[in-house]
Amino acid sequence: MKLRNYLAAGVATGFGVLFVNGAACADDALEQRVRKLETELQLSREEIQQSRQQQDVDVSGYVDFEYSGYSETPGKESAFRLHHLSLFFTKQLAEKWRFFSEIEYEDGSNFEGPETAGVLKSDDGKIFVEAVNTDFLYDSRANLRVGRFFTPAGIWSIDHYPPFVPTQVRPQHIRKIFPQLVDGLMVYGTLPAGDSFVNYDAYIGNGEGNSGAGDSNSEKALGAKISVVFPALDLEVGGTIYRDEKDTGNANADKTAAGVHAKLSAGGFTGQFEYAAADLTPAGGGSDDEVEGWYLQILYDLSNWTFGLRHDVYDSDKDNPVTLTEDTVNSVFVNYHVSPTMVIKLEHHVTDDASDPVNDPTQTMASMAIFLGD
Amino acid sequence: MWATRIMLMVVVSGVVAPAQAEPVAVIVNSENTQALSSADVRNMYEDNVIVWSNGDPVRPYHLSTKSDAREVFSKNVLDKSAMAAARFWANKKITNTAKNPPETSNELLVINEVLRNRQAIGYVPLAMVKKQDGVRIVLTVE
Repeated sequence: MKLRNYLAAGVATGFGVLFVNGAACADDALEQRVRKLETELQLSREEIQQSRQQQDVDVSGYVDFEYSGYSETPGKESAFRLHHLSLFFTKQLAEKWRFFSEIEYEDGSNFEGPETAGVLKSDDGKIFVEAVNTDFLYDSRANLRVGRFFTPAGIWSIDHYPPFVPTQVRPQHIRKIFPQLVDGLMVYGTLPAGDSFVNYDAYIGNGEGNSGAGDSNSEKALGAKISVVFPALDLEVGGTIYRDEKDTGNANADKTAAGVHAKLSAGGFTGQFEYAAADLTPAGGGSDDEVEGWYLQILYDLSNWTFGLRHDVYDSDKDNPVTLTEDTVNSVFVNYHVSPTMVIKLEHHVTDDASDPVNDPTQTMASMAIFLGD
Repeated sequence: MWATRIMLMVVVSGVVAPAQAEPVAVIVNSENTQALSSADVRNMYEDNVIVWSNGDPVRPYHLSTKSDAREVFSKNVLDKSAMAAARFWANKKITNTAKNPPETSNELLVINEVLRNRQAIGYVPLAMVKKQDGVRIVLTVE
């Protein structure tokens, strides 16, 4: 009796184990199948999304808010500032054609039409088409850009967007020696050179001081920038030249500007240096004006934090022995990167104005900058 | 006082070194026979090289910045943190200077993309592709 019971129990246990094993195998196979289907479904979704992206206009942008406090700065009150809301529109027009534009709303722009008069009046703030251009991407070695674009000059003129620069206040000479923008045509590309790469930009445009409607004179501005990148050393060095025989932005002076730049990263530290100078020969004759500026910036990245220092010098009339026109700004700052696209900054700037031996104006700013893209 | 607070925030925000992450394999399609050094891979992920030696476009794939594998890859191949590498690309996009931005995907999709596309390059935890047919491991980093 006992033996029969043991046999029955053994057979039942055997069937049980087989059943459980069989069920487990079936579960494993089912689970693998579900995973495979999930992956295929996600792939299909991504393909649909990519296809849509190629057809649609991609909208992104950035926004930044600030609070600044001042000392020894007459006329400046501590205040909040809705600095920028910029919208980017990008579209891949065809395999080798790409459109890009940036419309910037600055200082909480407010443009409002009055109720009675039939015309719009302008009000506070600024709405500005900072960039609108189309690229023909022929090859990595040679591409064409037509429209309005940032002047390729040094580093900060291009890499200037608040979510990706360590301070809201830019080095003094930026936009004062080379113009901020070019309306014209540019050829650019990257050429391999052994273990390094040569990036170049060469352009022709209307020159500074003109609207998008045209040029006030027949002379066109010419410029070029060359950078050599050494990836193994994390080093970039380069130079920029710019020439406009009738610079509308400087009363048709004959302007020649040149600059050098370098950026080196090692062990979490990044050093960045730019020097630029411009010579302006007045249209009506007279002595030349020389403008010069340079800065050295050191950053240290530690996890989500960036700490930095900058020494920044600008002289708006260098060769005039009578006037003291050199301003030096020393800055210290810290950034906290909430994510790759969002940063909170704290910066403190002390200005030493050569013409004012008494006051050393300071500006302390807290800000937040967000890139509305990925 | 302020210095103490900042130091405390730095520590709290995750400066402390993470636990040992598993090795990461840089992979391409098995039909892609081009030899690649760590410097070559870096150049492809930093927009310096955008075509394979046969002239085909490179299709690089990144993982999410939250992925341990991305941190290992970024530190060892790109010589920067995953956060800094992501900022590098976001800056390229915002300045309209990106020539060949990588797609961001998850591990399974990166493997699938490499399996079916000879132009793709990606990286995933080594254990996921050790015995995977159809992909070639060009580099292992840890």
